[in-house]
Amino acid sequence: MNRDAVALGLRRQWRGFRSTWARWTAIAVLLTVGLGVVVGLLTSASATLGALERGAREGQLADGMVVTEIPLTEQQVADVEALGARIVPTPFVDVPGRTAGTDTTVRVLRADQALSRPTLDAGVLPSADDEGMVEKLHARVHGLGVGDTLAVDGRTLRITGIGSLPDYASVTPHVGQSGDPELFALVMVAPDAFEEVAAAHPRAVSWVYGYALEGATHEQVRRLLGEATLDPARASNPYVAVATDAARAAGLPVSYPAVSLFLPADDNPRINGAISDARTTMAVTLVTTVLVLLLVAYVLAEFSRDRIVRDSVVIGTQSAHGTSERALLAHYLVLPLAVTLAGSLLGLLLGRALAPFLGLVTDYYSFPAAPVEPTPLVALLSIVTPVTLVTAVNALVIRAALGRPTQELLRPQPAGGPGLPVRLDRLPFVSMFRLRQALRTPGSYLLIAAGTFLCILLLVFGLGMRSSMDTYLTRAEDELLFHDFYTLRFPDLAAVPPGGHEAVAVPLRVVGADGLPGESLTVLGVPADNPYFAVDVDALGAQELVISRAAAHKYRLGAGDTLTLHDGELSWAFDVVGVSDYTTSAFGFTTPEHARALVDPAVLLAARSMAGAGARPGADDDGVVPYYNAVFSDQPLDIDPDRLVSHSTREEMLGGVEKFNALLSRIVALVSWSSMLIMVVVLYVLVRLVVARQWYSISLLKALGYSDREVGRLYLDNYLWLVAASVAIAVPTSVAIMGEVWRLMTAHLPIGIPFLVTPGDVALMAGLALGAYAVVRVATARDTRTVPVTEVLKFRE
Amino acid sequence: MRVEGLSRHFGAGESRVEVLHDVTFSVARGARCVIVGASGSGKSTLLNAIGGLDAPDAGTIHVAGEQVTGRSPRELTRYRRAHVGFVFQFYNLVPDLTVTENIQVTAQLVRRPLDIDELLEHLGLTQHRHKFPAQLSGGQQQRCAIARALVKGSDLLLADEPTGALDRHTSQQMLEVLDDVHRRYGATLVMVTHNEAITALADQVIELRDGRIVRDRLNPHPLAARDLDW
Ligand SMILES: Nc1ncnc2c1ncn2[C@@H]1O[C@H](COP(=O)(O)OP(=O)(O)OP(=O)(O)O)[C@@H](O)[C@H]1O
Ligand SMILES: [Mg+2]
Repeated sequence: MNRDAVALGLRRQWRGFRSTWARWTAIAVLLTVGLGVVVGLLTSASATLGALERGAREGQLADGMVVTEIPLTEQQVADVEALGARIVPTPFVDVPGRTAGTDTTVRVLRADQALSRPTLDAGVLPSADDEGMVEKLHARVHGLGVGDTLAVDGRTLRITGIGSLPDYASVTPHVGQSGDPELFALVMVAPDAFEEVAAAHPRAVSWVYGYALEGATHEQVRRLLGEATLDPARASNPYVAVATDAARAAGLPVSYPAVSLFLPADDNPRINGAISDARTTMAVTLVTTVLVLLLVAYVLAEFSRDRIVRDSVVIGTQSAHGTSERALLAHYLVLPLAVTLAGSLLGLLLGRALAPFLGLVTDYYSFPAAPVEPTPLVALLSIVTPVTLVTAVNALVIRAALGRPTQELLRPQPAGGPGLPVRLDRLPFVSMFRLRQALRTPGSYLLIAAGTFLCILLLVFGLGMRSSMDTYLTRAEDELLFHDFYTLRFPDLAAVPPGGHEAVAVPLRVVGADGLPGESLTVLGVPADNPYFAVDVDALGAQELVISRAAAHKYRLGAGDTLTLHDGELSWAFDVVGVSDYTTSAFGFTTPEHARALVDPAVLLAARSMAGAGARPGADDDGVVPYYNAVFSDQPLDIDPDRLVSHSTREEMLGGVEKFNALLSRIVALVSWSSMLIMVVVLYVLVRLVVARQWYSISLLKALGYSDREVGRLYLDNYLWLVAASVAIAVPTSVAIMGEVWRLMTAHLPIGIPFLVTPGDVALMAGLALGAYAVVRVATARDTRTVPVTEVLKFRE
Repeated sequence: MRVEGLSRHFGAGESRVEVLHDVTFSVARGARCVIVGASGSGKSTLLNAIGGLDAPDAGTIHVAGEQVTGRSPRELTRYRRAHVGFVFQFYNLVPDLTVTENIQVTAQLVRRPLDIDELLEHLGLTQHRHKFPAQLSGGQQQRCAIARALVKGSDLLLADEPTGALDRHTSQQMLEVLDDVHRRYGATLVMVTHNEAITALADQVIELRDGRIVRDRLNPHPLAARDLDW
């Protein structure tokens, strides 16, 4: 091809663009916004996975951890190492602290631990006694940087570094429960400083070990350490000795295992939560991508078809003169491809700009800072996929449109062929007319319906997420009637702590469909007169449970289902007889008596013997209260910390969710706004296209005496019904789809309510859809008005 | 109907063309008027002006005592609705509507349209009523276009070369139909053609050349369409 031909070709393309620039621009905007969101979400999700991976690799994340009552003996360490594994101490001490005027709980760790080491975002590890490295979420909440100070256990530490830990259980106040980074700090200190703090608070030390398998198996480590029993004389907790002695005196040998928690990294609730978050984001994103791209490809194909119809005489002339179909195909592909390429490139740039603001999980969890840049693969795919898809769809459509015989192209029907041979003469005129329109251009109707559907899906995603969160928070605030929740390992059966209400909590695992114990569920035996749980348990049989709404939602259970629970040794089958409105934890409610039947009898006996020395088994009249191991109260109680397994407060339970909610609102806003934009653009482009294609009929009707209003009603109001019908179908479908996504997204949070959209949301979406339609209607009505009346009469062969 | 001092030009500057110059004539109510002239002489432009589709630069048009010129587009629409039935040279049927539906399109516009079934019967379209325009012959399409113009029962029927795209035989049939319906429904008929032979049918013949009236005569003995000699 010579230069003139190229110049001519380019000029023709430019004219093609200029004559219909609005639609090409609109579709480029659609692609930019759609891809921008997609690339942004993908980039932030893959940055999360990358950061996790980096933290684990650089910090040598342990393959698993064990928590013990007392330090492991040298012999135990040697035994583990004989397996080929490595086990190192990663202890911590919880002490009171103060950051920027706020009282905090500080978890002090050794900066030199050999496994699960911190990754620094800034600064260096501490080396002097008055230095510390602070975990980044706490630092960010309080605006701390290197060189600032914070108080830990009465002494002032200068911050030498800000970073994160790859570790899982040690970094949250309680395993599996995310804390409030404002009130809870992780501080790593030099070894000497750690020893000092530990010596000052011997009871507050948690003996945690990390291990690297290096060829051994988890099961080997578990068996080796799990068999070890606790020597009461060495236990730091005095109740271990008290309980053991009391039990022995009563002729009941009770022993406590040395290891209180064994947690392989694969069961890591924190990391798994983050990974599943990132995976969910990616899955949602990919589905959205496919939908957006299909939509774009089809709209562009419609443009091509339209262009070919309008150019058909030129095409006919060209092919009559011997222009090859290939050259024609290339000619009609240039514009859609150029627009796609421009839209994708801009989308990539937009996504790159958006990604840092979408880092939901990196904000929520504490991970090493990671470059939030689109990976080469994402960048490549975000360009190649749309281009390929658009080429393929357009080539198909263009080929079909060009495939008509030359003489047919030369003598075009003014506005396409006839409609379907359906008889509609019984219908009222307006209905007949609109139905004919629909029958003639089903493709564009389908496109508008699909576009509306996609937008509603995105809106449901955004608005429903917010509503579900809000509803959950309101409900949780309403139903969390207690302020403090204590679980006890060594309950004082002499009396329930004054001001507290006792319960029996038995943590169990739900046996899944695969027959293996999986998710946790706590059977809670509550006395009928307790003020915090409005569940009627008195009538329940031993094999019956009323489950909380949270359990029902998470494990898809309802009244009439059976539920198998497992405690590590034994399994029990229960009938679910009801669901109670309690959304913050997966509970199975029953009477205290039935719950006690699930507790290891030795534990019951040990507790009894501690309280009433000399009490014999089976005797109930010795002034001892029945066994309990949980206490709820509306204010902090004075309970010896050595008796406790855990203490959590209402604030802690709600705080994490509130933070998650605040972070979520960014994504919600982004998704809602972009879907609005997509909706307006899609509707506008498609309705205009359809109207442009109908210019012949429209001007004919005007010539015959129809007013602009009537023409608008006949040609445009169809779309009102179409949009309304699409919304009506899309809302429930989207709620069903997003319900499943929501279940995945919240799997690691204590959120026990199904996905929901409020009537307000539905009204808002309907309003937005109709508002978008109104905008489009006004804009396109102008198009129908400017169609010249007399032009149509010149349409001749 | 009265046309006075009508002028119309297209374009500006060098490409300016004067299409109609000071055109003046009148047509009696119920008469058949034929406007003849070579291609490009301005016949369609004149007819479009009478039909309220196009606004002239100067001059006035009155139809049934109402002034057509100098009206807003909205008033022109109302005028077309109330008074004008159009038959176009290229039929210009709505391609995705059937014969009956095409007729309904204009029947919708007036409160008391003529009976569609009767009209179809009369124009010999009854058996084609459910066909789409593409499935009809040229003559059938034009008959449908005539039915569409008639169904409103309007007092002015404008036909722009109604036989222009038809062969001789079909043209003759078409003229018979027009003749017949004119007699039956009695509207004023203004028909444009470049075919001199057709003038024999008219009560009044206006000759147009380069946008001027060169002759305006009454025909005291109009022929019936079937007697027309081509
Ligand atoms: N929209 C327009 N813009 C510019 N020139 C026009 C326009 N419409 C008509 N003309 C010019 O006006 C002149 C008369 O056109 P018109 O259509 O009235 O002719 P006509 O007598 O109906 O011819 P034909 O017998 O071929 O239909 C022609 O020279 C034409 O080029
Ligand atoms: Mg003409």
